[in-house]
Amino acid sequence: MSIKLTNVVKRYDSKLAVDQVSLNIQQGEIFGLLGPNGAGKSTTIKMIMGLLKPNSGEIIVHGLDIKSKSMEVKKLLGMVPQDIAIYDNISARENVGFFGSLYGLRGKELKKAVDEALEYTGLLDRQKEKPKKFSGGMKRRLNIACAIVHKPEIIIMDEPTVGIDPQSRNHILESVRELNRRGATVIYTSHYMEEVENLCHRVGIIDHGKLIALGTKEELKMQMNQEQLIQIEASDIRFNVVNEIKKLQGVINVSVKENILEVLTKNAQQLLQDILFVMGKGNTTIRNISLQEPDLESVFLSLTGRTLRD
Amino acid sequence: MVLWSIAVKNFKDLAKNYLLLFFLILIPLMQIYLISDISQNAAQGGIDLQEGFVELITLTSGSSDLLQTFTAGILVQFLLITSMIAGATIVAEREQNTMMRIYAAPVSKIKMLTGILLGHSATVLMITSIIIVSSFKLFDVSWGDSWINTMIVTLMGVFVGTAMSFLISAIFNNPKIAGGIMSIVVIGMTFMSGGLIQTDKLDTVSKFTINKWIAESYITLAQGGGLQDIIMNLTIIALIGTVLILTASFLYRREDLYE
Repeated sequence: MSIKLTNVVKRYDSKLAVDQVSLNIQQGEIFGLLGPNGAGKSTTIKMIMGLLKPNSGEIIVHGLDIKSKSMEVKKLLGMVPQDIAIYDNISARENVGFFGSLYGLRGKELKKAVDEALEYTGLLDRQKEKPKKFSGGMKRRLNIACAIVHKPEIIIMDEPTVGIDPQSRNHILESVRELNRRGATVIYTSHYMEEVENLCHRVGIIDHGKLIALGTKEELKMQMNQEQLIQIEASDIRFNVVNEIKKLQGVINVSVKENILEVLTKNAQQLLQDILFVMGKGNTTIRNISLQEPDLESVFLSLTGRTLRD
Repeated sequence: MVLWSIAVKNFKDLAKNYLLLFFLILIPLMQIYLISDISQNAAQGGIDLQEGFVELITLTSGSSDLLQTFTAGILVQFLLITSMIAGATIVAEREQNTMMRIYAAPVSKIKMLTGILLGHSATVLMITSIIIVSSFKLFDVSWGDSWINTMIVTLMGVFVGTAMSFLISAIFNNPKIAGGIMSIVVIGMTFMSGGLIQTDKLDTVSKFTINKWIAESYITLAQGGGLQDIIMNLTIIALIGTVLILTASFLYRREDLYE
């Protein structure tokens, strides 16, 4: 197990920022922490990073308790903070080199690590320039280079794509996938639903400091009990085929509009095979199949009654 | 080694700002040049031609004493200004989140803060030393018979200056406000210490300024005194510095020191 939080509580005076959060993050996964601004995402990851101490509860990283072994834990972690944390008055290379040196890298080892981090983030050809000349996207990439220079086993990214152009965003998202392919566990916080949905293996949804849902995207969508609509465009949809589909287990409703068959269900993936079998038996020619699934935004809406950007 | 990395980084931050260095060295040297010129004219021209300095010349018993008195005041002022600029960078470091990033690394709070203070102290020491050596070479300013003694006073000055800027950086979160407060403190203390005008009326209040104790140490050394003559000054400077450092360290105990 990579990271385990048990009943973690964090208060700021009377405000409860994180409320009894318990979760396990597996080694090698990309774990998404989704929630609106002020939900408690950043506070949670700051506690994992050892930047804040929980009022109660336990955080174990690779078997090490963050309270008593914070220095050992910090060596395993790399942090990409929400706000860009780089020095504007020194070069990109010096930035990465300085932060690498804080993890004990020296000499040739440091030079090699800096080269790799800069190359990985596509900044090797701009390494001598000061970040004040960089675009927002390049600064974000340098922000990542500084976090990965020491090759951490766990990378924590707190909203790393806020306020950047689509090209840089794609570059960063692809970088996250590549880091994960290389073996890093990634904790990724965002209030951009589509990013988390495309990137993360599992997702925790946090709101008002509470973890209100946890699981794979599919599990979360199942949790909300939302219906799915299968749309099949076909020619010659016969009455007996429609009747037979209506009798299939899991079907809530079937309708035909012109040459489109619509099946409402709670379990589209299993049902689709049966529908196709029935249609095949009835010699129906299928032209197109589409499935309208609920997304994480609708999951969040269903759980909290408000959207992520509220 | 991590402490060294942080210290070097903080030293370079200021030392690589050539324009700032230029002004921090040039302005005090220009002031010393003007005082040197006035004091020479005063000595050559006599009291009647330099009415404004009648009292000063009488008090310090000669033009070289006038030069030494004002040069010491100027040096201390710029020592404190440099310390304050360095202190403002701590606040800036918090504002630009780099302190959080350092703290997220396996670096203890005490190593991080010590590294920052060592880097700043080295910068202040470098600038102060350049002013001392340049004023000696260019304008014949005397800093005493022993360079070691001068260095001891300078190190104590650097210690208390850095401690004061460390305290102010612990109190304020906005680098601009911190910078403004630091400027007010330096100008206020320079005035109260008698560094801008010499008058007996400031004798009592000057005892509450850092400037008085450091400048007085330099002047005593310049007038031929030894370490034994400034031991009280050094003790007071050490005490003030220690109190400031301890207070700042207490304030920096807060959990979110990096914010």
